[in-house]
Amino acid sequence: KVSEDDLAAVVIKNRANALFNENGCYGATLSNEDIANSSVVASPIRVLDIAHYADTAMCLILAEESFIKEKKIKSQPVWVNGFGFCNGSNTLESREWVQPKEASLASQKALKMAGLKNKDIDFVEISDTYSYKELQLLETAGFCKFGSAKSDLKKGKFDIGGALPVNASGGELGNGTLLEATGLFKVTELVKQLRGHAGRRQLPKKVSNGFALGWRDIPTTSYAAIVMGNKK
Amino acid sequence: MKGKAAIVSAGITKFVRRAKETPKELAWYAAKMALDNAGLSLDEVDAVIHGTAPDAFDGVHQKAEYLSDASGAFNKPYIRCYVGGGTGVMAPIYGWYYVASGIFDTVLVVCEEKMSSCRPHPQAAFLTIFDHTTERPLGPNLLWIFALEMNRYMQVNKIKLEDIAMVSVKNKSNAKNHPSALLGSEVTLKDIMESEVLAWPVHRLMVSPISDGAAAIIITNEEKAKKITDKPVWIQGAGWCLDTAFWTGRDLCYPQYVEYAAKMAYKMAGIKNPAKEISIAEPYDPFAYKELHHLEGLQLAPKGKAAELLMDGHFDKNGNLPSSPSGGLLGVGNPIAAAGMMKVCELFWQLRHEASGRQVPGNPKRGVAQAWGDLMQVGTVIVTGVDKP
Repeated sequence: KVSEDDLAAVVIKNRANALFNENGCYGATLSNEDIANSSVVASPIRVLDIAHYADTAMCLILAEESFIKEKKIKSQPVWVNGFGFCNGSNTLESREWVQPKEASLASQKALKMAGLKNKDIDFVEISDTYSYKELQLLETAGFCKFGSAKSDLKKGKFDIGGALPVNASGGELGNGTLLEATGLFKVTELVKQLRGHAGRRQLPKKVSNGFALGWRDIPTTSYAAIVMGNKK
Repeated sequence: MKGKAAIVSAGITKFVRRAKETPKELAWYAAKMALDNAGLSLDEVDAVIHGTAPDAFDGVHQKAEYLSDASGAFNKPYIRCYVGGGTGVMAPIYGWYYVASGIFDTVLVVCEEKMSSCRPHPQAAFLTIFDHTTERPLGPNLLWIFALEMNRYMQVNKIKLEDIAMVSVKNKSNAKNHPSALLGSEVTLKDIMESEVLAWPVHRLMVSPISDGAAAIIITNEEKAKKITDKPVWIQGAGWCLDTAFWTGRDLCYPQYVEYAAKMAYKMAGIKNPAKEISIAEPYDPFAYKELHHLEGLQLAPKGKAAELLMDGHFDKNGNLPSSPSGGLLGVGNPIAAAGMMKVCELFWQLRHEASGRQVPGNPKRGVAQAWGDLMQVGTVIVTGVDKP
């Protein structure tokens, strides 16, 4: 029983966070009325529930520990400690619409590889291509009980100052959705936060482990999850 | 090499000009054959790699998503591989590194292409690969740019057109006994030279046919391979290299990127003298001249000399180094992503003495399969053999 106000809260949080993101272009201060007044695209999704496209390019360099030592690389390494990826059913009529199991499988694989549980994760970057996805995927990935993401959000748990900041970057709603590049953008945020380089949106709490879960956007059922940390 | 990975089964559909089967059915047939050949159920597959080329052919955006269920990827880790024509060898390479690194034990690799859905002709889909500002105003198409490369290759190395035509003769003859072959037949040099010129110096019978088809293999680690077959075909080396998309600024007479990819694979396989240590070659032959061009890049012929060796019978099925005993793309067909996989499958069958009608004589120990594509820029190379690395 998720209300329009619950969805609006995702949009408001993420677009506000994006005001502090030098890379993004959709930072904004919005109210429940702004979202309620935007037109319905396909009920119950409104224009402001949908992340707009953006153009971008980004690059990561990965290296083995021995390479880092040998080359005396000075920049702080952020370790890939776990990952998982999974697909669902391409056929619409065969899909699990309430919770995509493939997202759950990808998330659990990543956490298991890292030897961590959901409670060990300090902050999350998760797909908010459509506002409901943030709530749905937080539950599917195991960060909230089924149905409780909306109340956790309302209590401020997912705010930048909260116990489990979600989309401190501003997410896709705040920065743009980038199709194939969307997931990598989440990874760059994990790196920045873990290094203390996230500038004005640096999380006030100390962070050691970050989690990102990306979805490639319609029509796909492709999900990938990654766990990164300051320690291997 | 960290872990060992082996190909334990293979499956391939017929390659035809226009399949009645849907793209999903093609992928399914190949995947099912590979599973049955290994005696495995889908539950025992940890991940699926799908190699498939431009969405424009099958006519479905995000084609790999469309083919995911047919490829066995429901609720499984699934990755699409796409490097143009290089896909058919790159997809097995993906499978190799996921198994060799220990991430997965058993990977199903499926390659599919249904080009015939692209109307009025699949060639049209290639018109959009060229840069809109610097290249499209010239009106290039693939036949045109490969004719450029072929002409450069011939001129620099002083190669006769008739010698290049013999590649078509060899491959179409070899393909007579390939179960999937579209154009296996005895053609003569005269037939090739009299076929119409498409873009000089390319004659029609020097070009592989547009095709629909799919092929699949299963790759497992050492422990699982032992349980599945007593004749695993080990992946001994893998290499890949991408040259610049600015083909206008490169000398096209020699595929440097194939050399780099081949050397990467040979180094991994511990091969010092490939011309002597490789028993079978399956170089990518979408055009007749390409087989020769690639044999040189693969270090299996000195630069500019592949045609001489061909005319000496060196690359015949009964020669010193059989090249394209499968019949190649020229003889079997060219469904873009599945074509390279067809060559990987051929090595699998040849090394296990299962290539009935096409079997090279003797006891072949290792083979190299190579694929190529994009804007004449990618080389993907895999070395497989009967000996565990």
